[in-house]
Amino acid sequence: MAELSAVELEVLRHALAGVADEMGVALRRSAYSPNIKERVDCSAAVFDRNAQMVAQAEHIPVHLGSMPGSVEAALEAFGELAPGTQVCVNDPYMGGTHLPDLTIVRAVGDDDGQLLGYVANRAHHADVGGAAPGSMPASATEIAMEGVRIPPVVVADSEGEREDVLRLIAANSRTPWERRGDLRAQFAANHVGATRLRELADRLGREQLHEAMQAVCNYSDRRVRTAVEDIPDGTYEHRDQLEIGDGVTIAATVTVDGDEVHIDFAGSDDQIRVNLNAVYAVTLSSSMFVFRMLTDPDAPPNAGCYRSLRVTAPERSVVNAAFPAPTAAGNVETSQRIVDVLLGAFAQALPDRVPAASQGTMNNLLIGAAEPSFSYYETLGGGEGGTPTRPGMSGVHTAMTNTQNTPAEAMELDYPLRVWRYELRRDSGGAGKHPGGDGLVREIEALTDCMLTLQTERRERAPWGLGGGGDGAPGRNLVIRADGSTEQLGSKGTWELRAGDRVRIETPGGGGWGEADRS
Amino acid sequence: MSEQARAGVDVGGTFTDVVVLAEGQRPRAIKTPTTVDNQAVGVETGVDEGHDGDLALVAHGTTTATNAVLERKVARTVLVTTDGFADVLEIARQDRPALYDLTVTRPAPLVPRDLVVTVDERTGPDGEAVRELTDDEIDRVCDAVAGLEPESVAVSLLFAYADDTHERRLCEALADRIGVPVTRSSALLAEFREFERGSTCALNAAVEPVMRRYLSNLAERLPDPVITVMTSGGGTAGIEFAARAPVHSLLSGPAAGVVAAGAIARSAGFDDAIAFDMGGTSSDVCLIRDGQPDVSTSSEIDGLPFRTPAVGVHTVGAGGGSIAYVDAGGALRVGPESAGAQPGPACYGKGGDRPTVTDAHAALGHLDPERQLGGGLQLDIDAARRVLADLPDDTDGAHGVLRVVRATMVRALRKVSTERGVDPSTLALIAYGGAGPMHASALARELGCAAVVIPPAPGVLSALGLLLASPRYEASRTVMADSDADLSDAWAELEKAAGEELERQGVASDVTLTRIADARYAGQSHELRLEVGDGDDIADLLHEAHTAAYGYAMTGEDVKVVTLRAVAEGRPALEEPPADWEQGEPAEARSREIGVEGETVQARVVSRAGLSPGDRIEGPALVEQRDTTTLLAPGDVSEVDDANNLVVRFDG
Repeated sequence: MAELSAVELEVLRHALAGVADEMGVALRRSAYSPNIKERVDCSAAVFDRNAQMVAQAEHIPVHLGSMPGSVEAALEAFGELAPGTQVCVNDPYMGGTHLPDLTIVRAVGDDDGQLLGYVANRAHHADVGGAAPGSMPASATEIAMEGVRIPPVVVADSEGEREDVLRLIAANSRTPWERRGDLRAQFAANHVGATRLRELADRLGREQLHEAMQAVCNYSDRRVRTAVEDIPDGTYEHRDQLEIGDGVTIAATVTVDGDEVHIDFAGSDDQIRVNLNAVYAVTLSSSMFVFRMLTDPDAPPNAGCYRSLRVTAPERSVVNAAFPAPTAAGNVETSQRIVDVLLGAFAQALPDRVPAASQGTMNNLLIGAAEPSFSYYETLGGGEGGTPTRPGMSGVHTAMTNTQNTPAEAMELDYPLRVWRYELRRDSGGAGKHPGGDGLVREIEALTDCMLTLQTERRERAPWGLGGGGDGAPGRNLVIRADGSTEQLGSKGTWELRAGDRVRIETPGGGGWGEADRS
Repeated sequence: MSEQARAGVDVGGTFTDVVVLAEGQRPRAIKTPTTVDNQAVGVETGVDEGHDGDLALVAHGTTTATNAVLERKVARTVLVTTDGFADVLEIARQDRPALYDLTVTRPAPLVPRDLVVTVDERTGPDGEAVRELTDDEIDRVCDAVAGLEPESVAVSLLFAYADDTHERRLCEALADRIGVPVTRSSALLAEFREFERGSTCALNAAVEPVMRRYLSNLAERLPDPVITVMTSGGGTAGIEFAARAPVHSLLSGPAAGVVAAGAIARSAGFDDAIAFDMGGTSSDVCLIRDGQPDVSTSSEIDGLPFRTPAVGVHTVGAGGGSIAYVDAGGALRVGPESAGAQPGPACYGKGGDRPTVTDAHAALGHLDPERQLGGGLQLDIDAARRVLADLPDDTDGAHGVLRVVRATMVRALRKVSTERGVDPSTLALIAYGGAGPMHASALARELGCAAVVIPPAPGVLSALGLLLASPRYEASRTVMADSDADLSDAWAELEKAAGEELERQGVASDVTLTRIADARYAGQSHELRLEVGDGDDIADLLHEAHTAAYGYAMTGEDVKVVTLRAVAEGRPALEEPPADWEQGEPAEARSREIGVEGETVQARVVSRAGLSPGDRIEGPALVEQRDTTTLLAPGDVSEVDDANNLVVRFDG
């Protein structure tokens, strides 16, 4: 009997969400990496004793589907976890996403030692080793070049934290001390979660807590299924390509049947020797993002939201990569393309609900040097696709990320760089009844010799319009040399910059929605 | 200050509240309808009603600036900024407001792109001129701005906080050429981060003419008393400053109540507390430490950020008028939709046909059935029961509605306590606003607070807070220095600026100065606010504060001093909240059947006016007073303390 009254349901939904929220706040407050503190590239979740996710603090969509995978991987590795035991994992092939994302799972028990459930949190660490600072080297052809890979390992048990294991993890980073700080923050967050979960069990009783968890998931399931029923039954296909070589294809078939949806990525290309491979968890997260957006965005985020969704992908493909494929950018770029492919498919079912394609990239930009030593990394917003109800936003992060920019006044204080232009890229959004948003122009002068690395997409294939709307303008990457000459750069790669050279990144505009009025 | 009469006047959405303190008289509270088109009319009415002699001081809280922004009824404003950064307000921080909800979009920038003028100039991070600003360029910009026929101008150039030479020259030329107010970013907020400084500057420019018009009208209506205006940060400012820098009072609405809640907490013997103000459509909560409200320098209004100090209030969309319904998944939800003042709750008999929180209280007997609602209307308890009966059986009717709204509130209270590492068992819950005292005891029990404190006059706490707030001004400047750098010149300059500004406002006496440094470890990008005493080492202070906030310090790391602040503060008009309010005639003690926690019990009904220090009331009971009712559950024991607060203490 896992049903609650309308009142209990709402009260317990708040209580469980509060546990995840407090974990997220504890993590952000005590972390050291700017990725966690400022960019909020982290998440926290609560699971029942069967490893079913019952609440999640939602900060960044790309973690949606991968948190449950981490708990499953921990349980698969160790069978059952004794209360108090904590397991760390970042292995992308075993519940991770890309190597910098470290997840710590903790089993929570009551005073009698009975398992109540699990709490887990994930944080993007600034460096986990590998061939380049930041652990996302553009040149990686296999995962060993991207940093330390951690299969599920026990990092704390009833005796306390395992110093030896923590030292091993930290020692594989360029900034071991910082790793210790971030790991400490992750332990702190799990401690808060475990304490709150025990308080709830004390108040309700262990079995009642378990039933409440089931009821809250069932509630989300009901809400989402109600929304799925409004999507016309049928099979919808779409495909799009990543800009690597002659193009790497991602294909999806979406089947809607009553209150269930099946997404199958059959037809997608094999995994590649470039770091744009998405592991299954990333593909699942991208699918969940689109599903949540188009069904019930406000349903309490838990396993129930996705019971009506099934996602399959061919093994060893670019959307379900296996060892030894490199995966660092699958998280940041391929995830965006998967979203586009799914929106394209759903648009056939829901022409009056689905927006046109957004910029479809995070425009990863990295400038650094060994002497003077600095490393500037950021992702740039662009145009959002026009939606059936409004124009797209300009100069924003879309789909799988939502991190903030670095102010010019902060950047020039910290790095030998000067920002000369940071404006909207006028008229880059696709035309339409509801036009696409404009991309951005970011023009940065190097004040010292340094290296530029770019991981960008949508430089050739434009973000598409929908329902008669025009395409957005593809992005452009340029270098304006100190002598005034201009070179166009490819979408991905590493280049040398001399003092006085300027990099100019023009990010893609969003596609337009609907035909523009002719007047 | 001599013992002349002083008034606190707080303008709310429905009522303008006035508290008058006159020599030899008990404090008086007056409520008069707010005059929406020009709040000054209602203020004058309220002040006249409250006092017939000379007034020395009117301490004023107004939502004129707030409403102007919310309704976008602001001045036609031109933004002048550095070439290459024309879209600084629209790009903002490049994040979107909602992750999954496609219907949510960003607010339009306060200054549209066609009212932005860019300037060929550039200052660098060390204050050096990277591109000189020429006289020809100044002429060109003045022409361009004049051609746009602005009512107000905002000037925010890149790195002007590091060196304001270009901004000053440009602003002087603009002021000479165009007869409209000019807001200079480096004068308003000499801090880094171009979007936040630009947004603060544009907000100020856009409301300046509106606020100036309002305040000069008010000064004409009240020519005699000194007028001070509440700021968002819980201080007061002189009327000329409030007209020139209205961005400082954008969020003054909740500030006064929170200041008073801090003073009330102290009067009841608590240093740390949560202010809990529950109104008709929403509730505000704010953490109080050492009697002082939490102050943030990062706030926003309707999606538009500003960086002047503001009390750290957390708002949730749940209040007395919040509507209860069952959603598609079968859960009972309450709010954020509200019945508002029109039609209002069903029990007000003005056509409301959906159940609200107030209806739940009416149906459970918490509200006096004889109560007059004004306009000859009487509480319609049958109507409340009728609309609640429309909810499905498993919602448990009125009890269910109250449990759900409590769950929402508890989550809000946790946000300002446990999520900040503060143990609720050390806190008192200071409840006010029309509905706060009705929910306080249940909330405090659930959160595990030490006590609930209901002030003697909870309905006019904001107006009282205006008199308890100190004149205050904070001068700041981003210095971006190492912690061992010699900052004495910068401190001296800031203290002089802060002290002079407060002196110029003419509202402060016995001015004290406090030094605050925003510092962080090298490589981090969010700062901690540190109070710096004589001889304090900023690095040590950071280690200490970092440990308190996050559980550890990084003693091996370099410490960056980002921004220095000097706070000048004068004496408040009133040092302590008064205890001896005029409460009217007490009604006779009665008893009534009410519903509490799913049970039906016989509750005592007592009149607050009849209570004096030392009196004890045991729950179940209702303590009624003019504009609010306190509900005491079975087992609650309340006592009136020496300051006339009604205090409920909880063990353990």
